[in-house]
Amino acid sequence: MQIDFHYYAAYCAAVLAGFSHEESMSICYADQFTDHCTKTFLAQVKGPESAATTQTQMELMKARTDIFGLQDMTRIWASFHFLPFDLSAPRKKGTTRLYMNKYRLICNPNGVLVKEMVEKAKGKDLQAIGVAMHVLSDTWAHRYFAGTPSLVINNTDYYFYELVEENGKEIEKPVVLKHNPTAKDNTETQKYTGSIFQGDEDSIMNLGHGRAGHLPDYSYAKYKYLPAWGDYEEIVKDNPADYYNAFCQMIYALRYLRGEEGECFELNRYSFDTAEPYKERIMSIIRKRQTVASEDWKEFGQSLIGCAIEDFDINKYVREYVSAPESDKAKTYLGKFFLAAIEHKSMVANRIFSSGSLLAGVSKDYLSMSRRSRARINRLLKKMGLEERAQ
Amino acid sequence: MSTSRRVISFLSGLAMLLVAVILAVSPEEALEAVIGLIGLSLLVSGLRLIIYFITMAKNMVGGRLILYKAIILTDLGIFTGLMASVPPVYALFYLYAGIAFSGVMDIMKAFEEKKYSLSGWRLRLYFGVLKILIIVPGLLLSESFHAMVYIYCAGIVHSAAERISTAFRNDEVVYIDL
Repeated sequence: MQIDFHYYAAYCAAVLAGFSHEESMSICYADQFTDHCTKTFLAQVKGPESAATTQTQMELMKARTDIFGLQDMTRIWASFHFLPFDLSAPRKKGTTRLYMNKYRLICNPNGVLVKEMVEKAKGKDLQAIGVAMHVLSDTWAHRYFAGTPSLVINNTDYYFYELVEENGKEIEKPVVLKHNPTAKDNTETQKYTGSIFQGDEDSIMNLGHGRAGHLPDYSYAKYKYLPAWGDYEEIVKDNPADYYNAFCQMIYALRYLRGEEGECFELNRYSFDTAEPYKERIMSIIRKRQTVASEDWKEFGQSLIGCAIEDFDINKYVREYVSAPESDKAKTYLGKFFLAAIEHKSMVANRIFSSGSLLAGVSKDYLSMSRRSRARINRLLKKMGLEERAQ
Repeated sequence: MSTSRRVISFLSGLAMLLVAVILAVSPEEALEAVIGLIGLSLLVSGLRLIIYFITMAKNMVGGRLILYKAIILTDLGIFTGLMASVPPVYALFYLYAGIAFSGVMDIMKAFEEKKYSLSGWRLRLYFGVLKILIIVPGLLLSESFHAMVYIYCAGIVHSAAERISTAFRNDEVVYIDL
């Protein structure tokens, strides 16, 4: 997903869930900022490196391709953009543990981690809610791909067709995935840019949906293809339906976070009723053949409560964070975002590690740490002006 | 390209330069070792792919292509290794064929890169054409074993230069913002 959904649609969902304009702006900013918080940015603002929620192209190109580099990538991409659906998926016949470790990282909506993530965000800052909304909506757009470099999971081949409606009939049009970095995607001729085929299992070209180009990010796109992991069974990816579900699930999750939907966050539950009066308009935005739908979502968002939605500015909160004294940094907008990001990343990395996979590195539960390690963490938190995590 | 890969590319270039010097100094003895090394590296690549196929790629759509590639590489590795026991002149012809094949692959890649508007295509084309041109005098002087060896050494030096220049080249890859 892109800025249109992560920023403007997230704002709309927050408003429809009952948040004020200011609160909705904070939520959607954190949602979109998840696509910008790179190590490069963190170095500029002198933020904690472990709070990185994404990687720039340059960072990926320079990334180490040894196990530590891959673990770093997996921690970032699996945590924030390709949340694994089922880390305990039963072993398929004839597969090795090595294969299953990657297979289990395949992203899909309504997994147990989504529930855990949303429930953990309850009672937290708006930044944590924004991060959770980013991850939740990406489980819909990025489904069927894994947040780790993997040829055997993320590869696609020539069997790739867009399903386009013409004269009331749905027809198949072959998708051509080119590798020209300067070419723009052509929504009319089905010529898109995708990453180059690399036979290396761990090449960055095989990270996430790179091999399928930007198609998963375009809300209008409906297409079918053979996923590398799918035993030659084709998958029809219906983005318009998925994006609408993502929007309605976001509203439900946000209502839950406001304390309006009971104690437990339920999977496969959507606030269709809340979105119903606007369904036609929302679907028209989603179905419009355009690569970025920001303007349409912005217009819709502004019409909801009549407040202007300012454009996303990556530097909006930088001055506040940089000028804050060390002990108050955690109380700034970015400070809260960094903490939310670290906490979420730690949770996902821990679940991956607990599933018996080292793909996201070694992770320990805070409570199972030695007294000495806990004391060290608490000292760090105290230095940042935060209360101790556990006594 | 990551720093570690650049270092590997640079060091392998230096190692190739060293091999070229040794080969030029004592052709008979070194030729056997060079053929053995090439055979061994092909064999290791093939076996690595076989292991990759068994552990991962057999579950992948189109994974059999990896198996075919693995078999071809393993076969080539064994075949190259056996070349160490044939008369050196014939072994040299085989090595020349290897350079020619590599040159043709470079030219094909260069045209592909040109299609994708990648700026490094000219350099790749130059290296490809040069590889083919290098073997021409070698074939013309095929009656002199030493002349053939020296020309082959020039080919190795050229490949080493390619690796070293790759280590210092700017990155240009097609990557999708996820």
